[in-house]
Amino acid sequence: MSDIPWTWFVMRSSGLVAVGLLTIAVVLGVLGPLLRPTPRLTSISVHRAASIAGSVLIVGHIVLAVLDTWIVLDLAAAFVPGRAGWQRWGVALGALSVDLMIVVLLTTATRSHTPALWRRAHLLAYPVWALAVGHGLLVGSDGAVMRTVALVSAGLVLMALSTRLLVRPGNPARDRAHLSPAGALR
Amino acid sequence: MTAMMPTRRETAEPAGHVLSVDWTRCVGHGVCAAAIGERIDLDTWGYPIGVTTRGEGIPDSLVRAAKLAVSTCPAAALRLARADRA
Amino acid sequence: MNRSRAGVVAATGIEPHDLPRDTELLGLPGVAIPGRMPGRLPRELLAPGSLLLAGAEPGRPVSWAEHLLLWGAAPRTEIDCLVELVAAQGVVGAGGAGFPTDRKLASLIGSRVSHVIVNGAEGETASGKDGVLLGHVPHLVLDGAVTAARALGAPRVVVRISADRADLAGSLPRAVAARGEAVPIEVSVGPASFVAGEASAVISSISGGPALPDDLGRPPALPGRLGRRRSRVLLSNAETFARVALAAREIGSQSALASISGAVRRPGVVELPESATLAELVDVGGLVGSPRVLITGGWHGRWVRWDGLAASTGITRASVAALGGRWGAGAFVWLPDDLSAWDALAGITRELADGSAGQCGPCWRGLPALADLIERPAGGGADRTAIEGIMRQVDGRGICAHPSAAVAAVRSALDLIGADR
Repeated sequence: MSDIPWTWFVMRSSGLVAVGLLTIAVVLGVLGPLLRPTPRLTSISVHRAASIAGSVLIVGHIVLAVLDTWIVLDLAAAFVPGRAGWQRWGVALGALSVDLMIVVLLTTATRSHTPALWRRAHLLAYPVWALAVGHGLLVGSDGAVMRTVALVSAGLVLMALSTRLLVRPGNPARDRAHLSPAGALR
Repeated sequence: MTAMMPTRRETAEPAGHVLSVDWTRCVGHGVCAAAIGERIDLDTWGYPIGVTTRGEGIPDSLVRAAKLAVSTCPAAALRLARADRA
Repeated sequence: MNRSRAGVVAATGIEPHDLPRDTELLGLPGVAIPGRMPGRLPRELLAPGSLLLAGAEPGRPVSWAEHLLLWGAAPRTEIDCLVELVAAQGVVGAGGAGFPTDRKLASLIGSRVSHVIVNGAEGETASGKDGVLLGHVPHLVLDGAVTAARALGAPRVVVRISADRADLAGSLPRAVAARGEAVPIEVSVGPASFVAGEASAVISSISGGPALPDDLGRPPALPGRLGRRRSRVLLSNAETFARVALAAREIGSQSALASISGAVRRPGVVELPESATLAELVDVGGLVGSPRVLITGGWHGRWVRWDGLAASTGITRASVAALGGRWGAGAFVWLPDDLSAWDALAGITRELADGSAGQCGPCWRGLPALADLIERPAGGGADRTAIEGIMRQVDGRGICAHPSAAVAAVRSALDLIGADR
């Protein structure tokens, strides 16, 4: 084990933790509307922190993966799906996930100018998460750990989604927003 | 927290910023009232009282809370601008 | 009153005729009131006009040739000169707010103006003057718009009408073609709803968006995908442009153009000299019964007592305001004397609630809640405190003036009804 550089472990663990953080972000994003204003504010703050931390870890993950001498991975392959020579499809999933994540981050940064675009682009967070999990399953050599992480992550997200679909949001104004006439006129 | 009447809060501090709402985006999530409760209450239907289209003055002491309200509004309905650029 | 009636008959040659008995259950124009006949909309011109409507007779518009004989060609003026001329004649917006038109024009100096929009949408059911102007003297209105467009360097004029005016949709393009202008004049048809006639809703719709109010700034800019675009727009009421056309010719417009309806034998549009009184105004159509309440300014206006004082009030913005009324869009509605004020208010409030664009919570939630409260039987259910509580949460909120204007109108009605108890 001593000939494997420490960067290898950091690269892999950053990926794992990033998946965990993305899971938290997705679950909170899904369940947030069910909360009353004060707990919702906290939820949004944690959602944001988890997303940012996850993004930072993914940057580190990519940098270390590119720098690693054992994997043949150039910078372009990390962002263009299908370019990688090594584990092409596994890396492609990761590359696509990162591309979509950049879209989500950019539209969030310009949210005040283009809120409609932000809202729609934010739905890409679901494939960002799913692709990240898929990437981990395909390229993760410590298969058992990754499979557990993937299972727990998928389970949490599915539970959150079913809760959201079954429980109506508590705010009656939000409930009936879709009934407002403007919806018909637009 | 609901209030039947919009209340006017007087502050001695000059308002360096202006917080305004786009009513066409606001759906009444109410997160803003939690973020900047010193300025925003919720009406009977969950919509914010204390913020208008033209904008209300925000003193420096509340700028952080106002920025939080703007960034956490799920409908991106709030806007904070510097008073001279509003 | 007999003397003024004789005077009006002599001047206009119109004799109010008797109506069949079932008009005793007459309601208000465009307002659904249970058990009442719907009031007729004031769409027709009741008598030949003196100034704005000079040369026009009911049902007979002024042609391009006749217009040139009457008024000559529209003068070409620079914007600074036009602002002065308009200010000298005291032209104000005739759409409701009464904002000085010279200031509106002046605020556009130096900006890039992409459209001059004539707002003839007239979503208010109690008003018919814009349709009458566009139908009978389109060239006077278009003169004003073209003059403004030339002065501001705007490359196009758009005339906005509502989809329920098929007559205008046919006649306006013909009038435009007859002029042979260099400036393109487009006729744009929008939804016939109350809110679609609001200024920012018209601008939004013309620039390809929905016919819903928006915050476009002052002076308004065209909305774009990424926020407001940089080019500005001049939008004014049809009557305003007609008065601008006269001002550009250094002609004052000391005449009042008003719509009369409600307890009136012949609802419609009248032009009278400013020296005339409200009694003379309603005499052209003929009052039915003895109304006690006059609603001034349309559904966004103020309720006043109809008595000797009101009858002798002059038909000017200032006089009507001094009476406690509001000129608004020059729409006057007399409440039939057998219609209870509460029922009328309930119907109007429901109309206002239905007229909401549905964009802003306090409006589309608050106005129906207000209508619900007022519809409760006046005897025991109408709780003024509860009504006030709702109104305070509606007033001053929303992206357009509708919620505030609705609240002001309802308040004036409640004050009047309350004072009568």
